[in-house]
Amino acid sequence: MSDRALISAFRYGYGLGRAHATSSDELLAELRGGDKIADEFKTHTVEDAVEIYRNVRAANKELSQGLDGAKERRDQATRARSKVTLEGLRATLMRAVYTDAPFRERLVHFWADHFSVSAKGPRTRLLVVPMIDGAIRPNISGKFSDLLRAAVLDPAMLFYLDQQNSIGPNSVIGKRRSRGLNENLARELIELHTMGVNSAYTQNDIRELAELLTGIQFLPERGVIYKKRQSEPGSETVLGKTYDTDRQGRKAVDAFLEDISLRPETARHLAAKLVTHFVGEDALEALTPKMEEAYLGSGGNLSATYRALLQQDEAWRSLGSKIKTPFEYVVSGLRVLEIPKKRIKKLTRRDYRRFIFQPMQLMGQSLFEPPGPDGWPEEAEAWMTPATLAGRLQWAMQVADEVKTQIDPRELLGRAIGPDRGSSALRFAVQASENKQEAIAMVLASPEFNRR
Amino acid sequence: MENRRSFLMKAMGVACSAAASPLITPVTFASAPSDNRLVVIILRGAMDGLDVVRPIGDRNLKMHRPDFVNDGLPITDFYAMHPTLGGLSGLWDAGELAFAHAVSTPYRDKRSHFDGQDLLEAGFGDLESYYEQPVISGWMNRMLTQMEGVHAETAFAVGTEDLILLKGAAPSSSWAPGRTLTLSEQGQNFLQRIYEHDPLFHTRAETAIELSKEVIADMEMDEQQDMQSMMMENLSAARQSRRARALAEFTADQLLQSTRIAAFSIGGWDTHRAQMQQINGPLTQLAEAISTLKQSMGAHWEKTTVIGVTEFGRTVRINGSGGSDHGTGGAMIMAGGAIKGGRVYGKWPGLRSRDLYENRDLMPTADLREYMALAIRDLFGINATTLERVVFPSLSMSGIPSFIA
Repeated sequence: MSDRALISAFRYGYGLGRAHATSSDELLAELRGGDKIADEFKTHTVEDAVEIYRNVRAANKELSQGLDGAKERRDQATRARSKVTLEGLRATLMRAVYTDAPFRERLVHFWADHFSVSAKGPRTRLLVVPMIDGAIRPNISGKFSDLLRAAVLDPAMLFYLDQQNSIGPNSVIGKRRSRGLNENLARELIELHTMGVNSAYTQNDIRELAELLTGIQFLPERGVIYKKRQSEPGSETVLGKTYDTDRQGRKAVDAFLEDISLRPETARHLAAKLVTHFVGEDALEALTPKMEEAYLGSGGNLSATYRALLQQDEAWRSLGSKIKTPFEYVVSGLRVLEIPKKRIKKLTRRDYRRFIFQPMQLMGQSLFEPPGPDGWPEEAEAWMTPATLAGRLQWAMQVADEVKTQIDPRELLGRAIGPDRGSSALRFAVQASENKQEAIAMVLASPEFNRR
Repeated sequence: MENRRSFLMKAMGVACSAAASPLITPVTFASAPSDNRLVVIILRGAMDGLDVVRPIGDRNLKMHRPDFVNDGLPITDFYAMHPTLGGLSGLWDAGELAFAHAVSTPYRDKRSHFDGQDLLEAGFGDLESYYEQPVISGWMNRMLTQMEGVHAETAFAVGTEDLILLKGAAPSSSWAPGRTLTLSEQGQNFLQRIYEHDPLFHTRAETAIELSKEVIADMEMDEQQDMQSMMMENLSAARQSRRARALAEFTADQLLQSTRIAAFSIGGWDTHRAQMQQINGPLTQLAEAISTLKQSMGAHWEKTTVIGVTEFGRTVRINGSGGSDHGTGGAMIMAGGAIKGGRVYGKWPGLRSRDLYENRDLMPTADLREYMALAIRDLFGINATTLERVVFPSLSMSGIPSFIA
């Protein structure tokens, strides 16, 4: 196996065991063509989410009124909700485990994290998956401004960062109901989604942007619209440029998103995030300048930016400075253990909880519930506390117990971390262990398997 | 300029560069860990101090918060406590609960949760000097380096999070509920050797393997109660309280043995909308955690100090959606048998528009680090110079009264 094949698999994919690219050209080729795996494992739409949400709410209301049969209808409605949320989790996992284009899947997760929405609220719980599939997935290889617009103006984001509740204080509706601004989305849009916290902007820019964004609303019947009657009247000046929503409506918001997407601070922030996620922070200086150049030179094209990353030698330096996230760890474990699709498909909800999602929680990650709008941590240390390492060990023991009759640990070692890799201590332990389950678990729990 | 990310890279180098850091070179050692206990609760998400400790005596409050409902529990002539903290009234009456108002860390202006929390846990005067340090360290860890007889169990981070607060050269332990794993003796030995060449894994392996031997009932309970709700479901209020209680019970167990310092966090304070409802969840957890600590500590509650701090306060004016946005000055909470409670500390800055910071936030009148420094001085005998130089760099103690009895 060539070094580039190994690095493609670990750094830009979900490890060995199933199909993976072996060069930068093959990685980039994954981004072209149809999204086969998304078609195979489907998820629910925004419309489904709205319907389920309404059914649950209506049933709860009936229950509180004490209507006949209300309890059955409520149970039915919440069962439907649990079913789609589970389907969302299951599809997300299955796509990553069985895809032939793992780099594409890694990028979907990268951008979903960049535009983090937590599924903890009653609405976002149902809207996160449609956002990832509708706003993120189709936009990971084109212009960043398309991705930005889709993600920031997605219903899930509008609820999560309170845009639904932000109203121009001097607008028709604002005056009538004496309601006003909520600057949450405006702040994170600049701080996290585009320029980054270390760039030059002021509280006043945040305020003006919050005013500019007023009017953007998600209405269940009509989707995301621009509602003039709650938009703050007058033009807004953000980062030195003036936008006139009175005359241009939503186009003014689009123009702002286009402008901010092409700022050098945004290029720098995005390049740094990509390098930090895939390669590691200590490669920032070496890798980001060419990526920023490619980004700005191509009008904010993401494929051009990925290409600029992959064409540099530092992007292929030796592995190991990053720790796989719990999701990556579990997915790469399932890939390398070659668990047949039909066996995973048979897992019940309880199985998923016990074998996948609860263990991931113990490793420090609840899928779709990042701690805040800044997403999951990138630092190796953050994923490696004694408690979360115990979680990884426990999962390794759990799955090893399931597969121990079908797998030879000595053969697994080379398949999991690559031929001729691994410390002598690991090789010795896998050979010498008197317990097959433990030997398999040690491969999965090893630093070589957990680092990328 | 260094930023947070490049700074965090340094975490990798802790082991080799620690000795060279002037910050963790002991200046003066305090006496051996005393009988006093300190629990720090990080309130993540920016708690609205004005809602938790309401300045009802300030006639401008009504102007900024016209929908304000005066349902608080009056605790002084000027302040009322949020009704959801009602379970703590007994503590207030007994002089075992206090607040400090109009406090903040030195963090200003960008109002980023993430930077604000970093600075709160790091204990530095500004982010730039924190980033310039050769190794990551939190103020609690630097405090440990100034104490004699510190061992791994002296300080505990409770929960699955990686707390900056306790990062650094001094040893500490961590724990989280719900973990079972059984490796044979041989398996444990092999694993130790597999991790030996990788410091990140090696330094955590021993505790991870130890943790795996503890069987915590919490997981089983979750299993039964949550059968119909996947992990994506909202944590119910009851479950959140249970989590807070479990953290506090474990913390108390440790404090009754050889642990003297513990930290954990309670999130959910980022109340951008419908604050009247949203703040009840985290407040309930906070009250539950404090009550549980009191109950479980028994006679040692007399020796215990609990401090709850947050990264910054929230806007004085209620925003357009019944919530509040990121602000500056806020409140902190103190509890325990070791404090002089039953009062609200701090100088009130007023709420006229010209009294506010940038005409939007409560003006901080004290550095919250000074309150923490006073607690450390009085509980563990660390002197002011060390506090100002090592534990909280750039702090200058202004002479506010201590809240420790």
